Amino acid sequence: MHHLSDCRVLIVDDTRANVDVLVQTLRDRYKINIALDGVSALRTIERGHPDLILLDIMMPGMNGFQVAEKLKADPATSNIPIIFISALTDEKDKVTAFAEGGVDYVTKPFQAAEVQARVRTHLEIKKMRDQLEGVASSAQGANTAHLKIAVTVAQQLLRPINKALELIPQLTSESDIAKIHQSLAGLADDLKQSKGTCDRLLAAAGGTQPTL
Amino acid sequence: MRDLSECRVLIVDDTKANVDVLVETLRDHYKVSVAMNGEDALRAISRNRPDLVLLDIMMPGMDGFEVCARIKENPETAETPVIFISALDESDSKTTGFAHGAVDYVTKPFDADEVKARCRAQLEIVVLRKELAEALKRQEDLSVRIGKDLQQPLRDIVQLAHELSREEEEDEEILMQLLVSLSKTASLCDELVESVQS
Repeated sequence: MHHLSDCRVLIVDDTRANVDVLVQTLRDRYKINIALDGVSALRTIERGHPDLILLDIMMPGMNGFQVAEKLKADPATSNIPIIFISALTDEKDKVTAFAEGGVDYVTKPFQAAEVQARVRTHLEIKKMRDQLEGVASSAQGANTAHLKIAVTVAQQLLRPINKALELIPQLTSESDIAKIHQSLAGLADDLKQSKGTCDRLLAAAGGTQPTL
Repeated sequence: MRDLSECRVLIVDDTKANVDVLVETLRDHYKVSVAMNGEDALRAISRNRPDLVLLDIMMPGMDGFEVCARIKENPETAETPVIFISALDESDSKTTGFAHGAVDYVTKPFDADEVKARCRAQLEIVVLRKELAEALKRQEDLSVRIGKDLQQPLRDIVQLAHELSREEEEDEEILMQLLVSLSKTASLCDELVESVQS
């Protein structure tokens, strides 16, 4: 699970009894906010975007479709999933609900399991989309992180390598065993190679925009 | 919009007319297959592993609830989402359906938008889960690989260099070990550089 309990659900309904039932149905699972009309719903959303909106269609003043239209027109809020609340008899409303950008609808009178299932489905989708976006947008960040690792690695490598490079002249002057000379020569080569690699790593990290 | 056209949907309904409407509604969007009874459905599910099952409740022989229970019992198919098909007035069935592990239901007579929306949502979850798992694995693989690969050779080098610095008489073995560690580290560095540059 993707910590859906951290999700915030905004319930918008002008009928207090409906709000109460929905709050009752969802409050053990998510963080709940309520708004009793369209205008205050938009104000609430402006203050902080919920992860999902349960939106009554029939409300005095601004109705649910008008609220949805405003939200869908604003790129900042167009991705918030909306589940419409419609009366069971309003067949036309259901069709309009999808056309108005709703991801689904629930009908009054509410069935707890139905509301819970739909809300959960669309919160899960929202959460995973956000998470994937996070991973994708951190592809750039991953590049930077990757290069930071590379720099650290190179710096750590350089220390022992430089130390070993210092030691080699001492060792060669102290010894006359041919085999050790040979080993040391090889060691020197490898160290130089490692140093070259590290230098290249550092250059790559400090260089132009990397791609992963 | 995520591409879900490769997703496989199994429609299970004993009424040919229902099947036809559902096939018509979904076939332009997904790979659709059909089973006309519970037994066939279970066989199709274990053979073809659909991404989603649309399951009629009222069927002669094995009904939808039993099929769903069998799907959920089997660890290999338990994750497969099931959407029940129920008549509009069977509100008890809906509740029972959720209790059996269904993720949602659609009502007869079918509303095309409703069927499409419910299927799409469940399939998107299936696909998103896969994508997310892969993306996170790639991320983890990269950092874990770099970390793990370089940890030991780095330790070796530091350790051996330290020993060398205290060494009175040259020790061939330490030098050879140092050589091995260094060349290992060097090739890991090469890999790292390659992955940064590619």
